[in-house]
Amino acid sequence: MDYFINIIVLINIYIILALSFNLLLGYGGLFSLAHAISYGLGGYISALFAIKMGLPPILTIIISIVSVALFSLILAFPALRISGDYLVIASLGFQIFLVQVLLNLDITGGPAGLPGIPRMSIFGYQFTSATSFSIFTFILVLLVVAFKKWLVRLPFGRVLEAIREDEEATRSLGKNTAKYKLVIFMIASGIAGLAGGLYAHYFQYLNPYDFQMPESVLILSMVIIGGSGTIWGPIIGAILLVALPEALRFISLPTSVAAPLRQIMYTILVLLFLYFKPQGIIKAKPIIRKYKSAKPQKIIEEKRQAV
Amino acid sequence: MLLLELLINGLIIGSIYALMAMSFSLVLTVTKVWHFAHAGVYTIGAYSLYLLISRGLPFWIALIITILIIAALGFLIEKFAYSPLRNRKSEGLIIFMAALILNTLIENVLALVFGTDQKTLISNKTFESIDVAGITITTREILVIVVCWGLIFGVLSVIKHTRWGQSLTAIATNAEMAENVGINSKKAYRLVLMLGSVLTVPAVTLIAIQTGISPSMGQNIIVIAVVATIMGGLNSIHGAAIAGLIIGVIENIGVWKLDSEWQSGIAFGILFLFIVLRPQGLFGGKLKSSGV
Repeated sequence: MDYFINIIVLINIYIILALSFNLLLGYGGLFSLAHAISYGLGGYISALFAIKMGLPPILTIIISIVSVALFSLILAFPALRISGDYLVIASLGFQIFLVQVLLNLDITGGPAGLPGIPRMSIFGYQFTSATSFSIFTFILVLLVVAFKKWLVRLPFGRVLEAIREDEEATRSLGKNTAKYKLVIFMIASGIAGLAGGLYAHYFQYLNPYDFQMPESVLILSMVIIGGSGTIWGPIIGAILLVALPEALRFISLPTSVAAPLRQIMYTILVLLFLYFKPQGIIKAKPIIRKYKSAKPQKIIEEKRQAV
Repeated sequence: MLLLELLINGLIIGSIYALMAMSFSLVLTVTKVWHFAHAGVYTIGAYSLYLLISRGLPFWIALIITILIIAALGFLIEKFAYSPLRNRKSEGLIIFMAALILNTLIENVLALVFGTDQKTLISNKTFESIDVAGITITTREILVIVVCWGLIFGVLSVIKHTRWGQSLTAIATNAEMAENVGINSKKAYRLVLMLGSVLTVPAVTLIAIQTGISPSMGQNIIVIAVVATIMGGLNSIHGAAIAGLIIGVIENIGVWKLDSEWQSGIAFGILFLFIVLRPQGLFGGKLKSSGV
C-alpha cells in the first residue's frame, strides 16, 4: 500500500514540476533545460536550512522557493537579453555545472547524497504517514493550479500570452518583453523549488544524480506529451510518465536491464508524440482564434483585388 | 615543466574537441539542427569498433566498416528523424527535443545491449613514446594531432574551395534562396549529416583506444562541442574548431590551479562569460535564431 502512496506523492510532485515548466514553455514560450536543477536546488536549500539551522520545514521550503527564484536570474538575465537559443544552451550549461557543484561540495554530502532530512511538519503537525503527505501534496497541486489560473487572468498573464503569440508586436506596444520573461522564469523556477522541498522532506534523502539533465528532459516530455499551454496537459503527462515506467516493476527484471528499458520505453513514447501528435494529448485553445480566422485572409483578398 | 605538460595535454585533447566541435557546428550551420544525437552517433562508432574487433577482425578493416556504418547512420538520422520534422515545418523546439531524446534513446539501447560497464577497445595497448626536449609524447598523441587537424583543414578547405562546399554555405545563409538557384538542399542535408557523423569516428577511436568505452561516453564531449559552437560563434565552423582547441587547453591548464573535479566546470565558466560578454562568439556569427 505504501508503495502506491509513494507513487501518488511522486505524481503530485511531478505535476507541480510539469505545471511550473508549462508556465515557462506554454505561457512564456521559453525553453529551458535547467528545470531539474531548480528542483534539486530547492530540495538542497530547504534540506540544508532544516538540518543545519533546525528551522521548521514549512519555513525552509519558503526560503528555498524565494532563493531558487532569485538564483534563476543568474541564468535567465544574461541569456534572455539575447534569444531563446541562448537560453537553451545556457540552461544546459547551468544544469550540468550545478550538478557538478552539488557533487563536489562538502556541505551537500557529494555523491553519497544528503541523508537525515527532517520530515515535513506544519505548526507542530507531523506528516508521519505517507497518506497524509499525499493529501498535503495534492492540496499544493490544487494551489498551483489556482495560482496559474489567477496569473493567466492578470494583466501580466495577458501580456505573456501576447508575447507568446507575437513578441515583436507586443514590444511595439511598449511592453518590455524581456522583463516579463524574466518574471515568469523566476516564478516557474520558484515553483520547481517548492517541488524540490516537498521531495526532500518526504524522502528525507537527496542525491545529485537524481537532478541531472535527463530529469529536465523528463519534465519537458511530460509537458509536451500532455500538451503545453493547458492545465490538464501537464497533469496527464506527469501521471503517464511516472506511472507507466513503474508498471515495469511488476515484471521482475534485473536493474541493469530494467533501468535502460524504462528509459527506452519513455523515449520511444516521447518520440512517437513528437512525430505524430506534437501538440500533445490535450490541445491548447488558440487564444486569438476568433480574431485570427477571418481577418488576414480578408486582407489578402483585398490586396489581391487591388493588384 | 608541469605547465608545459598540461599545455601539451590540453592541445591533444583540444584537438579531439576541435574535430567534434567542427562536425557539430557543420551540421548546425547547414541544417539548423542542434544535433545532440551526434553524441549517440559517436558512441555507436565506438561500440561498432569494439564489436568488430572482438569478433577478430583486424583494426583497419573494423575501422573502415565502422565508417561505412556511421555514414549510413547519419543518412538514416537525417532521412527518418530530422527531415520529416523539417518538412512538416515543425517548431524549432520539436526538432531540438527530437535530437535530444534520440540521443537518450541511443545511449540506453547501448546500455541495454552492452551493459553500462567500461569496456576496453584494444587490450594491452602500447604506444611508443618519443622524447622531445625533455617532454615525452606518445605516438598516439602525435596521431591525434595529425589526424584531427588534417581532417579539420581538409573539411574547411572543401567548404571554402569546392562547388559543393559553396553550395553548403549558400544553404546555411538562406536555404530557400539556395533552392531557387537550383541547389538540392535535401541532398545536401543528407550529405552533411553523413560527413558530420563520419568525422566522429576518428575522434572516438582516438579517445577509445586510450580510455575505453561506455554508453555515456558521448555526454561530456557533446557538451564541449555545444560550448565550442557558441564560443566560436554560431555559423562559424572554423570558429568552433578553434574554440574546441582553446577549451581543451584551458581545461587542462585550469587543473594547475583548480582541483580536477572542477575541470568540467571550466567549460561552463567559459560558456557563461561568452553569453554575458560576447554572445556573438569569437568569430562573430550572426545572432540568427533557429526558432527554439
